[in-house]
Amino acid sequence: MDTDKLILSLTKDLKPVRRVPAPLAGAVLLSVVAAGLVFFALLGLGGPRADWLEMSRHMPFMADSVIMFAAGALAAFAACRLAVPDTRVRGTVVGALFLATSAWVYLCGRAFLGVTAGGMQAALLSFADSAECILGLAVLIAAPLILAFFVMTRAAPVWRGWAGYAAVLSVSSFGALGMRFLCQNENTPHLLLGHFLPVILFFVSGIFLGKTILRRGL
Amino acid sequence: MRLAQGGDASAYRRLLNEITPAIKSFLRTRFFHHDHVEDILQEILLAIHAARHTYRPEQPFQHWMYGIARHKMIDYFRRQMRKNTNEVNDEELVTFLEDPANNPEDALVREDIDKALQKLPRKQRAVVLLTKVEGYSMAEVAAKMGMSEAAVKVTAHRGYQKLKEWLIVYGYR
Repeated sequence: MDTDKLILSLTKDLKPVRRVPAPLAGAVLLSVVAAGLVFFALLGLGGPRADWLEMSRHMPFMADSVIMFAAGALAAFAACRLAVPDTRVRGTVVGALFLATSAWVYLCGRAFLGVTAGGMQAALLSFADSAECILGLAVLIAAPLILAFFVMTRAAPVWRGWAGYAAVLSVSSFGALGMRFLCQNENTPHLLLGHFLPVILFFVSGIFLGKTILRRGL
Repeated sequence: MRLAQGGDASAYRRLLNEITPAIKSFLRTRFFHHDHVEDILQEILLAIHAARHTYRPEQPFQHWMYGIARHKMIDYFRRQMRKNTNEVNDEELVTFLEDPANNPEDALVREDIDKALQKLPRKQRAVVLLTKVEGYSMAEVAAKMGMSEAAVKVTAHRGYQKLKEWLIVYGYR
């Protein structure tokens, strides 16, 4: 087909379109929806831990929760920014992803430094506990992850690997936050094996998911 | 584009007509085969049309547009590479390069091919000669030249394409 004819056919019967929300608004929306879906999934899994109110007064617990929430929100902003075409990945996106990733590296690193060889051995021997939490995390993030990818394919991400990474990082962070309010085991090796490391594995796999699933976008 | 998002067809037509030459010139600096430029241009225009809801006025339009153009161009390259694995499509060129002694009356043709080979960058010339004249496999050429097999295939493909272009310049079709 001739390009001029193509342009005529594209402009004929042109309908108005609804613009995607601005990245910041999109990030807020995505964060709220993701946190909400995680909350409902948490209720479905039996509700929050019995001591959640007491733990919420515990500074280190709340500090970790704030870090996870912030990581989720920053990654959500990056995902929204990456959902629209651009010639390159902008500094704000790189910065947001760097901070969100660093938050998880910090959590893992701190937990890793806090474990003893004996503690880690015991945690590995009772890996079934950690496996249960990994499964719980997967359940918590399933719905928000599907929604995030669905919404992103309706946008037009061109940096698909980065976009997938950001989406999974965001959703996993909120999922991990939900898990902290579900799982009562505060054992450091358990947190490392069952909560923190799986999140890192999930969001690294987001690069592959993005390159595969978001191909359908543009 | 803002007006086009609101359904203003004449503004949209004006926009597409204005960006077409810019995208064409963007593509021409990146493609040897200008026949492909028109195909990719149309794919880009279709992608722009499908993604017009993602443009936000606070973002520079050129970043958005060239983001799409670059993405579709890379997709096109990848599809072409998957189609043309490691064999050139022009069977006559392949046969001739592999066995020039069979056609002594084609000495002039051979001379033109030699001239075209000299026009190739050193690496492409080496890969074309090793694969099609000396008969080495891609893996063997990769080992000889200290390259990956994938890089050899890409270099060979580019070499064949450039060789064909030069032969067209010399009057062959």
